[in-house]
Amino acid sequence: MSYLALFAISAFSIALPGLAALWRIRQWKHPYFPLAVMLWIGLVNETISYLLIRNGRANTVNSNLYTLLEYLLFLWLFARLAAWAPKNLVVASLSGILIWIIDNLLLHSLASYNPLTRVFSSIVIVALSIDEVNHVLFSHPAGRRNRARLLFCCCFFAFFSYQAFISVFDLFPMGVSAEFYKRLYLIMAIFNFIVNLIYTGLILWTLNRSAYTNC
Amino acid sequence: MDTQSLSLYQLLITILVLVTALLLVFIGSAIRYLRIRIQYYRQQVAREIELIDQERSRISADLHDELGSGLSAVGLYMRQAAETFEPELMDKAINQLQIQRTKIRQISHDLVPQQLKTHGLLTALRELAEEMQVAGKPAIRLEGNMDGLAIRPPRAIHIYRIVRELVTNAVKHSGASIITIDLVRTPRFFCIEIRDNGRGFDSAAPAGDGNGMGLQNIQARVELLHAVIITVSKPDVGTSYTVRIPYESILPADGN
Repeated sequence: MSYLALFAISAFSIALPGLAALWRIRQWKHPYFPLAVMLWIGLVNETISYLLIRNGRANTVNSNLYTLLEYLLFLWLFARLAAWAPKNLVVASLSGILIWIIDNLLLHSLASYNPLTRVFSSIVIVALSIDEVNHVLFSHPAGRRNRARLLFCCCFFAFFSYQAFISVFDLFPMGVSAEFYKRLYLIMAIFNFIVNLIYTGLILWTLNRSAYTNC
Repeated sequence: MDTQSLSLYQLLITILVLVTALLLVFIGSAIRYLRIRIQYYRQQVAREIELIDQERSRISADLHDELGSGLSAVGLYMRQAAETFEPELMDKAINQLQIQRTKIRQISHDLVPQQLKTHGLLTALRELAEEMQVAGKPAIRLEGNMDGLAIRPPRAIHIYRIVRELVTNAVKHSGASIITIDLVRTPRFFCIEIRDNGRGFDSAAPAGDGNGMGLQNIQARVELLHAVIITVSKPDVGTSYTVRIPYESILPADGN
């Protein structure tokens, strides 16, 4: 199987949790609604990327825009799960937007692959996941909603830790072979596929359909 | 140093800095939530002491107000009867003793329902439903059964108190016409659902600080049972509270 086919399977596996979210998370008030939006936008982004790459064009512009959107949606999700004060959400969002502007408009071009924002957003998401895992473990009695939060945050932690790790390689190009980078991203693609399967399971079996529940 | 080595060092330092930063986030956040947990337990102990004091005050007031004056009257009738030898006074004293006996039974029942001790949780809950039904609307139904589940008596009292508190809250605040207490056995849990068709509320909205003594009391007992309480509510539809109790925490050591 070619690399492109593998990457395509991994990229479009986001459709599985996207469909699950369509089934389970319909109400705007649902605590995981930002995750559902993220999955749907992610699917659109992957489709655009696939079409661009197939036509021999770069997918950097839509990827850079998606990185910012994903970061903001994650902030919205954590703000909902942990009941943040609006001020914290605004500060975190503005700092992300600022980094994105510096990286994509001032230091580099929107049409180039810009890892700084990716490293920043991944590290913030990992830090928020760690905080949320501690919150659930130390503050809450066990419950279905808390179990879902714990498992989702473990997935976020694992996936974005690896994303931050490989983005650091892009920050400092060392002149290693293209094959090395391909393998790094192949691991990422496999990881992405597994995480999407886990998201699907979690959405289907640990979330309630109704927003009107505390479990 | 050549460019490649410099890049490698920069990469290693960056990874090291990021890992250290995340480790610090983990430690800082763990300490913060541990402190919150410790504070929560301290508040819980203080609350329990307060509850014990309140209960003592209530028992003291019951004994003083209900029994004190009644027994004084009995003493008075008997002294007069001894002096005058009037049979009517003896009858009054006996009558007063009967009244005091009933009051003692009521005080004892309020402390620990007799039915719970003698006939178990199901009968006590049935009696509770009837007792609260008599007080007026709404209608209170007890559905399901325990299928012979024998619960350890110290645990049964916690379950009884939780149900009593939830039903009392529903009667007082829900504006419901029907309240149902449903007992369900699943392979792993004994579940008690208390649902009403009252005005409900938005349970997805951020919860209050839960400072009500009744709610804190419920939460404390739920934690003692290693149980979970699940609230599902929708405005104008109603509310249901499901208390899900694992069998290990309520069955006698030899199982059931």
